[in-house]
Amino acid sequence: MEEKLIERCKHGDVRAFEDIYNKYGSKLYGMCLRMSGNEADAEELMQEVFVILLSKIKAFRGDARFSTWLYRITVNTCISHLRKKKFKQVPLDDEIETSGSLRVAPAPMAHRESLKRGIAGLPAGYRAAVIMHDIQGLNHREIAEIMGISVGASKSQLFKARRKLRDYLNGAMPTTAGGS
Amino acid sequence: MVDHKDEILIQQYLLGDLEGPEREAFERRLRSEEELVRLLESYTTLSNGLQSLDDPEPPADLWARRIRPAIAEQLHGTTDRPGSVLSFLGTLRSLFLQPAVVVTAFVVVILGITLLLQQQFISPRQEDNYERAMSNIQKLRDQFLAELDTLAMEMERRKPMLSPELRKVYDQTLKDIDESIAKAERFYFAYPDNSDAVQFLFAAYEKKVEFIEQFKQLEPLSPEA
Repeated sequence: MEEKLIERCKHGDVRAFEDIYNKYGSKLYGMCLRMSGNEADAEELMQEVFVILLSKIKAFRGDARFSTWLYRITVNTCISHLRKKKFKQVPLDDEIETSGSLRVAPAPMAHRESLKRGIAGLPAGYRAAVIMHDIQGLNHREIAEIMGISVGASKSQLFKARRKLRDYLNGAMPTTAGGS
Repeated sequence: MVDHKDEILIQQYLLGDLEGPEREAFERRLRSEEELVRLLESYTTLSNGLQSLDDPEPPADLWARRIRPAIAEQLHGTTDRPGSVLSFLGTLRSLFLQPAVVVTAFVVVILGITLLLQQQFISPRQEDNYERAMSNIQKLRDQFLAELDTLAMEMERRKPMLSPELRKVYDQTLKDIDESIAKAERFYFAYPDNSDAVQFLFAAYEKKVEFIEQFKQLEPLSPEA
């Protein structure tokens, strides 16, 4: 079924692109919105993703799953966009602790808004990893394929991202067991 | 006292990467080290919080407002550049696959070229009219597409009630019509301001609407149907 859809896209059938949008739009928009942090940029990114899709679809040979390939375009477009715009990040500590004791007691609950701000403050690669794994439910093998990295690197990205997020939340939110 | 290594262990534990004796040792520590438990809880809380962030729905009009026009522009500007010899030949080649449309296509191309030449002398007032006309065409096209979507969905629901033979006929004919629509759309995006291209496109849409409507009349199926 999807093969026919892709063939129609290759022939410039706009309705086929619309079908792809209807099928994957929600996930892709979620990625764009969480990566960019605002709706205007997310819309711009979605437009760019589909224009790139149109220009590259003829080169799609089916070596990877179409969804993976489409995700890769989306993630790369988002990361490239962030680099171009020198996206303003919520200031988080850049240094990740590599040794020593941990400084903060756990937060009682992760508020959505704080989480969103925390995600928006992550470096692009970490942000993509945490969005794909923890929010959109992709596994490390899929993320590795999408981002063109190893499974180990994907796990490492997620580890660092979670650690930054946890530190951010512990700094941003009240805790039951005391602060740092 | 927990440290960086413990944090790695916790994440491995949560990912299910900790197995065998390592996992047992870690779980033994969890029974006795309060600080380790708190750290594990903080990561569990974080993980649960992240999982509760659903994907937001894109704006309802995002496709029609931004993405479809961008794709159309891209097709117009690169794939089917008006006046391009390659595009002209490519269009003709695909249309020649169906002899029934070759005469129409030839006339449309000639008219299209004539219209493009005329447009070099368009006045500002004519340009306003032109924009309005293009906007109306787009609206009409949106209406057609919406109607087709509704009809197609309705027929998809009814299809299981059809006999296998009729379903086959329906699917095959619809496929042929969709191919015609795809060709008409390519032609339209190459020459969006050509009245014949527009008519060609709407005729293709109309054909699909008529076909589905006719097929709907067959339902509920009688043996003679």
